[in-house]
Amino acid sequence: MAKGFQDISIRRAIFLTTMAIIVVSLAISNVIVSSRFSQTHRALIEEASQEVNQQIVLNFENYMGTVIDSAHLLRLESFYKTKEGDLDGLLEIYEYAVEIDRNVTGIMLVNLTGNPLLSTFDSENIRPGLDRQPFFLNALEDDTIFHFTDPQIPGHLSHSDDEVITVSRVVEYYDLGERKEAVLMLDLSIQPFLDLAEDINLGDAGHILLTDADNALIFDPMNECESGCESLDSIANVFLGGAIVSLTDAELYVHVNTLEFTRWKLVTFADIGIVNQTLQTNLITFSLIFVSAVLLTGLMTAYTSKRISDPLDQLKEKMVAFNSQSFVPVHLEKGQKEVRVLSSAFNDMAAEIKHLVDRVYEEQRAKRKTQFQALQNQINPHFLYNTLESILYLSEENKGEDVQAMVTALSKFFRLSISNESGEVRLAEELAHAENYLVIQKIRYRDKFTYTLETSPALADYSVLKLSLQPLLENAIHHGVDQMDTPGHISIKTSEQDGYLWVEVTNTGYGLSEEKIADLYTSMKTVDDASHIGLRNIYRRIQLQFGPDADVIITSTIDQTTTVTLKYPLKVGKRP
Amino acid sequence: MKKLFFLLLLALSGCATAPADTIPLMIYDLSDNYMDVFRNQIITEADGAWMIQTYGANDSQLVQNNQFANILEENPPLMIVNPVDRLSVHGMVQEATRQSIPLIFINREPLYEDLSQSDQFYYIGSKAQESAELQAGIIDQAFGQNPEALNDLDLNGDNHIQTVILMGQQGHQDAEQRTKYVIQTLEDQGYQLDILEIRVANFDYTEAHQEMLEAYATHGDAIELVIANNDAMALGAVDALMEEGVISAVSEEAPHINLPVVGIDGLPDAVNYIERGLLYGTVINDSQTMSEALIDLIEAIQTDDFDAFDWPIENEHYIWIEYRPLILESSDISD
Repeated sequence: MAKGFQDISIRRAIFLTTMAIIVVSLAISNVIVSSRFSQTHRALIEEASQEVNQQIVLNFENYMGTVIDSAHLLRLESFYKTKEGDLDGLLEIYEYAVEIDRNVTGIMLVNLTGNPLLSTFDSENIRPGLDRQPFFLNALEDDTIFHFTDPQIPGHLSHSDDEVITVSRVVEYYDLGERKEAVLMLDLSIQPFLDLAEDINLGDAGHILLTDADNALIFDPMNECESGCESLDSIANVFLGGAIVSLTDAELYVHVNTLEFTRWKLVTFADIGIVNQTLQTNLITFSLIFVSAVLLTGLMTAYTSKRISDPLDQLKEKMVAFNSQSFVPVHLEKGQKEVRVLSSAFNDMAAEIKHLVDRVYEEQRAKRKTQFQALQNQINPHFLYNTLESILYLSEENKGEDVQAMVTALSKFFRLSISNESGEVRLAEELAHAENYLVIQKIRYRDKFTYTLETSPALADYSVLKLSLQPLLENAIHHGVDQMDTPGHISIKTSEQDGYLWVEVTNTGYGLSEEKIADLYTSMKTVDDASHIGLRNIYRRIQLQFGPDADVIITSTIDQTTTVTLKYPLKVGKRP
Repeated sequence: MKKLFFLLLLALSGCATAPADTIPLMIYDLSDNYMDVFRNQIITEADGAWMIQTYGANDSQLVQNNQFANILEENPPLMIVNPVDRLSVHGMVQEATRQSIPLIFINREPLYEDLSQSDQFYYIGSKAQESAELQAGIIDQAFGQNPEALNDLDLNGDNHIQTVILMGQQGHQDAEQRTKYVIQTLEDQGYQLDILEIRVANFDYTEAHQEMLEAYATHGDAIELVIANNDAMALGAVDALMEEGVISAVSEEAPHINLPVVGIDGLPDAVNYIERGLLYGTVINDSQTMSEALIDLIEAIQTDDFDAFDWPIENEHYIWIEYRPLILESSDISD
């Protein structure tokens, strides 16, 4: 997909894609259907128009056929009767022919010099110089066929107002036993042609024309060509078969056919306006279907894409605006299933985040509080007062070395206490801190106890809880070695075992009973217990700082020792 | 997408043009025996070089006009036309001129004014007058070649020949010409014909059979000669006269024909009747030779090379093939 497409919104993408599919497929199907339709329609017009044309041609040929048959008969009779010398008999036949067919207005046999030999016309009516008449000239041009003149006022008669078509042909006859050639002619009324044309239904602007072999007009039964003949011009290049021609006021399907026995063409012009109207109606229908389908699809697509994209937009805005402080759950009333699931999942996630953030905040607060408490413990005024008392005493006793050691230890002790904001410290530093404390307390308690410190440089860099040993040592002195009459011993041991760092503080003394230990654990793990603040503080801090794996373990042997062990997950601290 | 659309358009606009080596052969009526023989000879001659596609017009110029217009749309290399109505050829000629399609007319001769419209129009055929003259020659032979003293076929001995003529369609050039010139030739030679009847049987066997029965009913044994414009009518007349017992096969007891019937065309059936002594003679309208000339002409037009075309072209448009007479005594039978 093009990059541009990815950059537009879902709503627009759905809308555009759907519309494109609909428009293209509708357009293609419309084009196919309407082109098929117009093809079929055109074929139908052609077929219908051709059939009409052929029917008309057949009607005309039928009539011409009867004329030709009569003419042949007259020709044969002219031959036989003159051979027998029976001119009166022949004239009778001519007259009989005129009588039985009212469309034959006259028959005449003209010799090659243009003089009438035999005629049904009134002899005074016949003009001289028949050899200059078109029928006569035509006949001589080709003596093998019958010729037809254009409809015209007959030039061979003196008084006749009716147009006729003259049929003529060279025939043989006997002139006193000698075989000669003559021209036989028949005058035909144009009435049958008009009658034939009248019955034709070719639509409003439809009409017929008769033309000669060169498409020149010879007969216009419907008077279409009175003022210039547009339809004749339109068929200048149509000699046979069908074509569509456009005239000023109509579109017509023209069909040209030949007329048997003659050299004429019959041209039919069928008005196809009605067909074109149908085609136009169809086109309008197709367009309406197209437009309404596109509109309907457009509306529905717009609605659907809005339904999909609106909740997504809402969700998107909520997500963008989301932060822990101002989270308001998204409530979508509308939207598709997926979007609702998404928003509910988002709500769950936001709630979870909020919960986590709150917890972290709580934890931080607790950490600070306990740290602050621990710090408070260090700067216990009693401890400071007692220490200063001891220093005063030592100086009075002139124990300068001890004073010096005590002041040094005190100074280091406080410096470590107040330095470093973080709750973590390297084991080496914590041990140094513990030792400063022990130095001070050992002098203060006048060697009431001894202490040992076992560690290994390999462990020096592991992180431990800052200020964690001092409360334990304080307990060891206060509840352990100070209770005894005999000097006691305090030992600090560090080790790495099972993937943990173990820091043990052991003191000699009366020890603790199982119940007491259980008490201590309960108290240690209960949040709002007023007793055993020091131990509980360590427990909470170690868990907050080092996680649930970190632990405080209390063991004891009655009348012998008590050990408090801090268990740390291995974690390398930063060197100062 | 574009490709698809293009294919769609192609499929919609798909139209076929005729292969270049297919040549339409338009016959006025496939039920005409002579044209059927002619058509087969053309197809046989064309074998291998050209595909001949035959169209029959059922003796209707309307049908033929329609076929012609349809075939023209397929733009054939040329067309062979046996027109229904020689006068109506002008429509076809003008359309073919407009589209520069060569036309070869056969069997029915168009008017010169139509044929001369284009130098690509030809007519291959025989002169109707010649067939009539040859037919007159056969009759001359039958009656002893002496108009002054006819032989014993002049049954009543009046030295006139009582004749029945069976004519083709009125207005048909061959019918007109053959009728006119056979009479004229015989009269010019000094024969005296008494034309008892000119009956129109439209070149058709069945019609001729009927017309002959009627003519015999009228004139009986007065009939001394039957002239038919073609063999189909001649055969119809022979069969009618056989039914009347006038004609029977020649044998040793009766070695001569007593009522000569003569035809034109040289149909296989006619040859067979001549061999059996039923039909006196015919004039072979040599469609075999015409077919050979036709195929040579197609070749010449298509290659636009007339150097190798040995048939004489008269008046730029006409290739005339000679008729040949055929009678029992003639050695032409084996030709």
